[in-house]
Amino acid sequence: MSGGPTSPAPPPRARPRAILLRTALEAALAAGLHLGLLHLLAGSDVVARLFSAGGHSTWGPLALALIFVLVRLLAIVVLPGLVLYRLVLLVFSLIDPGRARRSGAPGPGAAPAAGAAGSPAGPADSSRS
Amino acid sequence: MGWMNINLGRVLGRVLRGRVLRYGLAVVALAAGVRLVPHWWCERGAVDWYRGGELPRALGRGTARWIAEDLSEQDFTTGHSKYDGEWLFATYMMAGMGFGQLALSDPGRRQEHLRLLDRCVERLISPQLRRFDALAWGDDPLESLARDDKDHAAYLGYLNLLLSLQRRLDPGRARHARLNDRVTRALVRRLEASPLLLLRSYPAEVFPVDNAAVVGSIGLHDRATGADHSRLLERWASRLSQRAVDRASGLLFQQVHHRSGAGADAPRASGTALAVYFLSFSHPRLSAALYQALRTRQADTLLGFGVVREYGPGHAGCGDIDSGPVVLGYGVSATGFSLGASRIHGDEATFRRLFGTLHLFGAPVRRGDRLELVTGGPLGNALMLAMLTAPRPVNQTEQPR
Repeated sequence: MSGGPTSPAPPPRARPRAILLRTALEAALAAGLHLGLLHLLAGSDVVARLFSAGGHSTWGPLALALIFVLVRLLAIVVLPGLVLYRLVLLVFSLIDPGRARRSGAPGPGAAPAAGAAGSPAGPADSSRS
Repeated sequence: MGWMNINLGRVLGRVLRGRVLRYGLAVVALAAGVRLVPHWWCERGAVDWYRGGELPRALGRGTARWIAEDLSEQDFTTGHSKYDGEWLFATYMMAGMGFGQLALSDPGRRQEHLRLLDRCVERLISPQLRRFDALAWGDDPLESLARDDKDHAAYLGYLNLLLSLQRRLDPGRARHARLNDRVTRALVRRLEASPLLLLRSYPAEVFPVDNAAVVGSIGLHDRATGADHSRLLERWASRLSQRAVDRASGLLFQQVHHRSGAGADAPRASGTALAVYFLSFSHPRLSAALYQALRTRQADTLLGFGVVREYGPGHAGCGDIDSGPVVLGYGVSATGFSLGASRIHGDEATFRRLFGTLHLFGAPVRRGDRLELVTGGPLGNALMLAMLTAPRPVNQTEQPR
């Protein structure tokens, strides 16, 4: 009745935690990199002049300027969509944790061994596919 | 057919329960996030800019920092000494226009902004800032005011617009009033003598947008002094509309042939948008007509961000010194100048969308009481100060909505 391989305990919610962690890390990395570069460049007239000059300058500042634009696009344009993308996956994983874990790699530090109860390829889950 | 319904139902059920639904919805959320959030985020301060709140004054203080630096041609590396000098000149001219417009909109700090405007004029009339024009013509633009063989339209038109604005703001100030009168007289004489009613910016080079600065300065001078050049200005507007405006698009040709007056370059948005700004001082109706063409033909959105196509319909080209980089057909200058044009003509929706783009790529940053566009440099900050503080035309009833 209980404890056997066919009646698993409620699966640990590793996947939602992994999604949250990954989202938070990506957001923090993009936002931190963006703010860091923004304030670095705000105090660096060399790069401001480079933008104004149209790029006929040394490659170093030009590369820094291009990286800044790319990071800004990533932080402002891509990041909100990415967060929403992950939030939808998070909602699905909360609704159906077993399916969420089967469909993707288990989150760090939370994955039971393969074949164990509630694991991605565990026998208890096979009847639900 | 019953088995088919059952199978279809099963397949649909699996699809809806499976990865397709999950990742499909996630991708829809990603697309919605990219489409809806970034431009909304970047447009947050637009209303304050549109209505002239604290932020434009903060940008004024940020631009003042550049102006205080005694910039030189070495601060600009366009790859051509004439353009370096032009950009240095444009930095002080546009900053001066911005300070003058701030003096108009903020009476409490009028004297502070007038002092900054005066500093810009002092730099503009210095030999260092006249050099690019003097080298191009082989003659100094201010020392040759009594002779009419060389037009000097770019230097004199832009300088005189600032002199006229200063005159209008501070009519009792005699220091540059005399120069304003002398330059205005020279420009009027040269226009009257021109078969095209257009002046040359450089030898054999005629740009309608520079001529818009010339007539804008004359119109503003008239308003400041009570002088009347209305007949010349009307003739000029009529001639420009017939010859220098592309009939198909309603945009200004970027350049016209110096003898025939025929279009020598494509109809383009960067020149048209800047002309909308200059003409708002002298020809509100023509300015409004050009703005309508700009808005209906050239303005567009990308992911909700406002952008403006550089080349008119049926034309294509690369970026140049006027347009700045042209990416996917959208011009940096055209988009930036259209900010001022939309503010002048009371088009808040377009202003907001264009402001979002400026925020994204300009990267404004507050530093104490100053605000600067990180990617703007001296010229970018000065241009945007002028555009973001551009005033409505005097006769608002003439403007379309």
